[in-house]
Amino acid sequence: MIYIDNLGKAYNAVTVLDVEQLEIPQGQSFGLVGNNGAGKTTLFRLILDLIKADRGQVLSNNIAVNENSQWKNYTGSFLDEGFLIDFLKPEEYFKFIADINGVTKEELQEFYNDFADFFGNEILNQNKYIRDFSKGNQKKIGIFGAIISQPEVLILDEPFANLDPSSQIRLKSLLKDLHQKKNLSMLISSHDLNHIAEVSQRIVVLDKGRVVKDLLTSENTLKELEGYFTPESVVEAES
Amino acid sequence: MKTFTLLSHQWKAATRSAAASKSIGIKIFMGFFFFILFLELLGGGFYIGSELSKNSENPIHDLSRYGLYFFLAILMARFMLQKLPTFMVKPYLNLPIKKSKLVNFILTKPLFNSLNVLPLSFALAITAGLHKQLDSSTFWAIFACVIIGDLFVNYLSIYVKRVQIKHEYVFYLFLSTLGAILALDYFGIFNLKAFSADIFSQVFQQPLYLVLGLLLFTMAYYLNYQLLYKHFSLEDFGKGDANQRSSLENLSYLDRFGKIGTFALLELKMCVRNKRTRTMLFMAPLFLLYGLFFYNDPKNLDMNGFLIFIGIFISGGFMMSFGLYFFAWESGHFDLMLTANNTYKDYIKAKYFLMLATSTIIFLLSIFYIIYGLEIVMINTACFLFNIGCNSLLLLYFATNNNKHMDLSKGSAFNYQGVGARHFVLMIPLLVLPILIYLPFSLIDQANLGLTIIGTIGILGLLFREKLLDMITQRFINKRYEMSEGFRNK
Repeated sequence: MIYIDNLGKAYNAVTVLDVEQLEIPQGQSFGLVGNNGAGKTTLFRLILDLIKADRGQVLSNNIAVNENSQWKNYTGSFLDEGFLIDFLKPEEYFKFIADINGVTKEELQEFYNDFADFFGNEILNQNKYIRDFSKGNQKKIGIFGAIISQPEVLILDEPFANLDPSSQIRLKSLLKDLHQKKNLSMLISSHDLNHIAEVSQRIVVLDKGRVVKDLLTSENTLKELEGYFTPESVVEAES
Repeated sequence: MKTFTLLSHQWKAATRSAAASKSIGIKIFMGFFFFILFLELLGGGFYIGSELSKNSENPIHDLSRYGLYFFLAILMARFMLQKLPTFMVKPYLNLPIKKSKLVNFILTKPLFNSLNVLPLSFALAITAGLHKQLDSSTFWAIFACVIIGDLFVNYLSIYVKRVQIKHEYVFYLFLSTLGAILALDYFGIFNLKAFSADIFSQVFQQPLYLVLGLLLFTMAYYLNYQLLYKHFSLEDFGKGDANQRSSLENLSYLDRFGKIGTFALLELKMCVRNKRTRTMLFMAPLFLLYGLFFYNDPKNLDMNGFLIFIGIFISGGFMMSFGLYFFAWESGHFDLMLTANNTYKDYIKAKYFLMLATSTIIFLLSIFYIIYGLEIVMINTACFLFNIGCNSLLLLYFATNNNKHMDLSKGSAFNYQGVGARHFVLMIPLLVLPILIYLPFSLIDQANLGLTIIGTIGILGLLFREKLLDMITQRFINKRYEMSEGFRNK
């Protein structure tokens, strides 16, 4: 589905991403972890064609994302507040995205019903603009916006951050659900190893822009990850 | 924490901010502008002073008649040009620093503004021109008057500006009060000159009256102090107003136009719901009224080239003040626009049609200028066609160069955040091009042919708009990384 080919990006001669090859097949739930500055967001931005690669390219369905924007038809994404329109109310924001993607009013309403759980009662019918919501609720709005178009590929950057505990649990079940029912390819990054191990079939660890681990999730994955990220072992790995 | 530390933090904030390093162009431009203004004020002041000393029997009295105008002018200039002194208070709030100290620190900042030199140097230049008729006590009285009056005016304008953040209507109230005073004076209902003469001759005779001025200044300072002290918790001055109306919610009319309508509706909502764009909307009628300032004077009516300039401004002024910053307005959600499932052309076309619509409305309203003659309407029609056919596309093309984040929440009139020198320069071809086309024909007495050609170019632009929009879209695609990277960099 998504194929990363010899992708590199540097800012001021500092390499932030250097991935030789990485393939994410259709229907895989793919977790990305790494410390700050590891290049997670950069990788997502490159996949979404928001920044220009210094070398290499990203293929989505065998088409380079920077040359043809077909991938937009089947890709939903939410990275940060740059994806929110802060002067709209949540309903207007959803309607905007629905209109752009040709989702009808009825389908949107159906969606509201399906995900009523995830929203709780803090998002809809609040009569306030997105900029006035808390960070956690903004995140929920953004995540929902990303799935309205019923995408085949979903890209979320740290979706669990800022969410309250109940919402984190709801989000996990929502993601698992989506993945199972719709054969969705999911690309999710997180700092929370528990969450990511739970929702992903495969986990890739980035460090300084390079892929240092590529694991299929099993019972031992969490342990292995925790071992990797424990401070001493990081020092060892570097030396 | 010493005041010095605060000062050094301020210096670092100023020199290390992203904006400081980026806009050298605008700094040079502003520095140059400031220097020219300074020289002009010196020269103008000296000229006024020496003329008064030559021609007037009682120059000091004549001078005092214009005292209030002087201070009103400073008030306007300060209000419009001067930025509100701000200070990132948040990091200091949890430190053991007295609140009053922080407030006083913020309030003394405007004393170190380079603009402060201007009023005083102007006044001193006048006294230099008048030196023959001036005894030293009057000189010092004028000197003190200007300093104290300027201080008062300075803090008054800061106060109004700060209140206006929360209560936008104060801005319009302030403007209309000033307008009303000047109008009353203009129609002779209230004699501002005599009033001014009364005040200032008293002061020159009895300098103790200056204490009253000091009192006024103290009051203004105190008001500022109170306001800041009370609303220190920054939420009060944060973004957005508390009593939001959800305007434009049910404008489903635009749905009929498909994606272009969706984008246009988004743009409209953006205009109405953000402070910065809203101020711009309120300014829009001013462009329509632009003609009133000039058409009344028969001398202007003879200068054809000048009328074209006005014509372009009437139907295109709003379009320009909006269009030059296209895409940058959306810097807050630009990443969404790039990843959303749309063709870029629809997105750009929506902006194009918005320009067409607003420009057409303003043009239709401007037909009432027919009271100044049919010729004016003909000129304005040619200019209108040029605006919608040619300038609109040029604006879109120029706008693809925008790459500075624009903060819509803090906006109000004369906010230059996110504005570069480039934007001023880009206005020039939009205004000058039609005049350049027209002038050769006007010079060989074929003015009407010139007008026809301007209009025809506009119509050609309208006819070939799809092709031209394709070109602009291609440029947008080429520039998209630069733009989105700049917009992300707050």
